[in-house]
Amino acid sequence: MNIVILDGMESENDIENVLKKVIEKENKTYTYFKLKDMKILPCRNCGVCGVKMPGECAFKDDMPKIIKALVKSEMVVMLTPIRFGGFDSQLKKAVDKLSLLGSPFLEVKKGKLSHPGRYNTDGKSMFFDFVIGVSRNHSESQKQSFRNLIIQNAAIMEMSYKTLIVEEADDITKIEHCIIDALKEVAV
Amino acid sequence: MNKKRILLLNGSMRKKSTSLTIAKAFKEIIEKKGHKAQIIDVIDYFDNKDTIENLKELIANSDIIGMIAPCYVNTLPYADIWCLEKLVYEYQGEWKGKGFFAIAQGGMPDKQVHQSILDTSKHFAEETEMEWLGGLIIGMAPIINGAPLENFGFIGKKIIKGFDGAVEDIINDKVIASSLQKGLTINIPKVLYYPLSYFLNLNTKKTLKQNGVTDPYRQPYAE
Repeated sequence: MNIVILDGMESENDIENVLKKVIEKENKTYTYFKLKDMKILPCRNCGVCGVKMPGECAFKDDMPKIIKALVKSEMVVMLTPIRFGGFDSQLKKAVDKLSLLGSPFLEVKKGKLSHPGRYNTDGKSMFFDFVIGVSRNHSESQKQSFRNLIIQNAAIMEMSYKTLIVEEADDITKIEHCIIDALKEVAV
Repeated sequence: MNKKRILLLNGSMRKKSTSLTIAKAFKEIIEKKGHKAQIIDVIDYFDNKDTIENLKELIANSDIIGMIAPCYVNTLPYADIWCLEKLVYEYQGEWKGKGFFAIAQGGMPDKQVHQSILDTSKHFAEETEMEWLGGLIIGMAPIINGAPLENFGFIGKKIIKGFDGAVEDIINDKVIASSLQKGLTINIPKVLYYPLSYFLNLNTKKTLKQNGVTDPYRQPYAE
């Protein structure tokens, strides 16, 4: 299984190291992106990727590296601090550009309007979306907002998903077990 | 009358945008009611055309702040989140008691798709000790496409009426009434999603053709 890790944490941390270790132990291959160190320009909603150069961004940045890895993957693992009940800006800069993976056309799936994937021509889900939200003692309300956001992301991009929220202050062994259990659950 | 100063944050990444149209409509209603409103573009702070210091000062000099933003992949665009993060990092307790509200707009008719914009704004307000005054969600918004709301006949009037009610609530320090959201929600039966997507796709096909695109399904990053 090919896994892409989009790491939206600000600095090097134990969670990203544990995540890599767990994936390696499972003999799965992964491509790792530390988003903080990448040049990803904001989506300007210029429309080029939809109706002028379909699937391609008009602004040249590092995003094609991520898209190329994603189209070959079965799972994306997104790691982010919970920020205002959603993604941190480091992860969001990449998530905004995941629209490059979508078709400009709409379809109705499971009673919702969505954009089918540009690269999943077999009609299956493009990849599994496994999101790890790192809480810094956030309120339950923020955690629930975070879960709701992942549900909506998965629906609009026609992905299967799993959300895991871990407390940054928790013992790293406890976090490791949570990641192991979650990965077992989402094994595709 | 206690004149309120209301700062409207246009969260759009584009200068001519639906969010700006909405912000302008809010500004007009606020001023008609005898209060002051100012619109600023969040993207200018991201692009270093203005400083976060100046934005902090504008917030300090306002009674109520409103985020009016488009929905990018179910929530606020990256630059808006970046800006809110900067404000929180530098927050020193000086905005306690100010009001904060949000107006979310996006293409999908289902308002749940855009709910995260209101959630994010609410949590930002909590972290900066502002009073959360609620918000509104406008689906199917790209049909506005930067044009004045008055151009949209019955629908435009309905939206302006909803905004008027929202302004009345916020200037009276009340949470925006949920009944206003009901008035703004276009309830499209799910069965009509099929003809809706058909017509929207026809429009997309027309635009692609005008742009000379021959393969809309191309896979530029497949190896």
